[in-house]
Amino acid sequence: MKKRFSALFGILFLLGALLIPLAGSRPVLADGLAGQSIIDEADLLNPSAEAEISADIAGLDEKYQTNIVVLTVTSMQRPELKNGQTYYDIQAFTQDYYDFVCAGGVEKDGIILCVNMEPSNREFCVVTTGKEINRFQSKMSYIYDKIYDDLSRTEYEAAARTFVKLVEVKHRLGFYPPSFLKVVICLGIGLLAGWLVTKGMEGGMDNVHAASSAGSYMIRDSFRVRRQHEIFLHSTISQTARQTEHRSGGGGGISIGSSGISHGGGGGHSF
Amino acid sequence: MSELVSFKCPNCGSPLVYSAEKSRFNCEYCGGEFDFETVQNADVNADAEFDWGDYKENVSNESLEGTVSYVCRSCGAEVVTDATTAASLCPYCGNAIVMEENVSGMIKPNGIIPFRVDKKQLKEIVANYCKGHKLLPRNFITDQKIEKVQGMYVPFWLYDCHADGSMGFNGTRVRSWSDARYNYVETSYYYVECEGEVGFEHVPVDGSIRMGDSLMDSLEPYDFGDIQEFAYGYLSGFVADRFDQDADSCLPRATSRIKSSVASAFTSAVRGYYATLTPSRSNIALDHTKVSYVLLPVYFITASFRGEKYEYAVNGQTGKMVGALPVDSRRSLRYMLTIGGAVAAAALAVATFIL
Repeated sequence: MKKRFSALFGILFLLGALLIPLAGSRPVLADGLAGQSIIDEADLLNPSAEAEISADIAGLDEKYQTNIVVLTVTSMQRPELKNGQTYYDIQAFTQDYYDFVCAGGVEKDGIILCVNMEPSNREFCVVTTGKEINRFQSKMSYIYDKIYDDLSRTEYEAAARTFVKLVEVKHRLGFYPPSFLKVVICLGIGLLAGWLVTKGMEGGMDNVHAASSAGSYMIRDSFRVRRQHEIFLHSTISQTARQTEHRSGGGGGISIGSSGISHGGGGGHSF
Repeated sequence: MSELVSFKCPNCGSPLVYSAEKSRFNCEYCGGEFDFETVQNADVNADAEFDWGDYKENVSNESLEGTVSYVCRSCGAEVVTDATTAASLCPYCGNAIVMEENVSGMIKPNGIIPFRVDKKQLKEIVANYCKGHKLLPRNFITDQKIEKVQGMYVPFWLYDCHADGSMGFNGTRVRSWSDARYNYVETSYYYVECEGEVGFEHVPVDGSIRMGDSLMDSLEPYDFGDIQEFAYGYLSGFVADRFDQDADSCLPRATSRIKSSVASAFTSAVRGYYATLTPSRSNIALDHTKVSYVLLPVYFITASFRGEKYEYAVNGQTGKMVGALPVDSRRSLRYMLTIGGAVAAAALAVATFIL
């Protein structure tokens, strides 16, 4: 009996010894930041704008049962994330930040914009979680383009407002209304197609045309090629530099963060 | 003052440059070198292509006896029919025509394709032709009135020949590849020559000045296997136009069509091997040339709708109808806007929800 207790105790001790390091790797949740909609560590927004945008986000969070976050950072290193190691992938950093800091370690529907202001690597990233993944995934490219336009002009407040506006419109309408230019182009395409089809229909009402060939009067099987040869004359080779994409499309895909929670997003984009 | 003469390369047709040093002509395109005699002969050959030479004119000198000629005082048209058929209106201008005693008889044609389509079928043919055209004015099919139908044998020249020779092309092949830094495109240039032969039979050209060439071309094809030996009986109830353009006058139209078909045949024979192919020279000789004179059956129909007149022609052998139908401009605009709107909406939907 004593031996059995010793064996059981030994097993429990071993299990405990195995679990201790795992427990040690779990991030310690940051206090005070969970539930905040704007975390402006890079100090890009003035207090009044921050308050205004926060108020807008609060209204949207409540109305659409989501969690919208704008995060600006100057470094992708946090003592509470990844054992304090520096992240080199903004998407992984944003996912973990959202999961462990904003959402308190649980899966919570939401969308976060992260702007990294590291001098050597200024980039931004949008990450979605839960039901927001499907809602925004196909339009990541559109969202990135809009935010990039503001960020590239160093208009950080505008970028935050644009982000919030894009989230609101997608929730309210379900789609992004096309731009005026797109509408004009589509109308142009439509009118051109209509004109071509009608001209084709009108053309079909007059079948009087001059004949330009005598193919119908070629004696069947009379065409015979006796000889065919080619002479190589010369060749030219042209080379063009391959285009390197400075801004990728932002299509992204579904990835799983270190918390085990699935996320959508468009990856990191420099500006 | 000296005459400026330019020669072309016998291989590829590019302009030749004379090299005083070598006393020869050089082609900068294909690299060929030629002496003066070769270049001159090549040029002479090029001029001689598609030469019909003394073609066999299969035309009878025999005049048609027992036919009656009518002359239109208004447009000058002369038509012929048999003695039992009374013609009163000019098939061209619709004015009265009168019997003329002094005009020479019509030359007997080598053959005739008789009318195989009955006049009674024409109403249905016209109705079928109008069907399915959505831009016709409202009630056009039901309210259109056929005012006049004239069956006429139209004089045609049929040209036969055998074309033999070669065509030269400038062709390119394109190959592309990439490495980490660059995209490469290699374009290889070739001179391609194709030599062969092809035969043509019964290429038709109408021999009447008054007939619109495009209208007559549009009535094709005829089944020339149905050509019958001419008999007076075929004229009964119809009129026949006499040719006022002889075989020589109509030859350029036949040549142009044959030339185009020969070029197409040679081009399609080599096309598959090259990215681009441009004909640079041809040297085609014609032999076994023959021309026949035949009468082909055509119905001319005049119809009216709301005071406007419309003219059609129907192939009297096959029933194929040709002519321009009226377009209702309001309907046309409505269709354009409807189709345009639908396409624009679809494009907007794609731009909004998919792109």
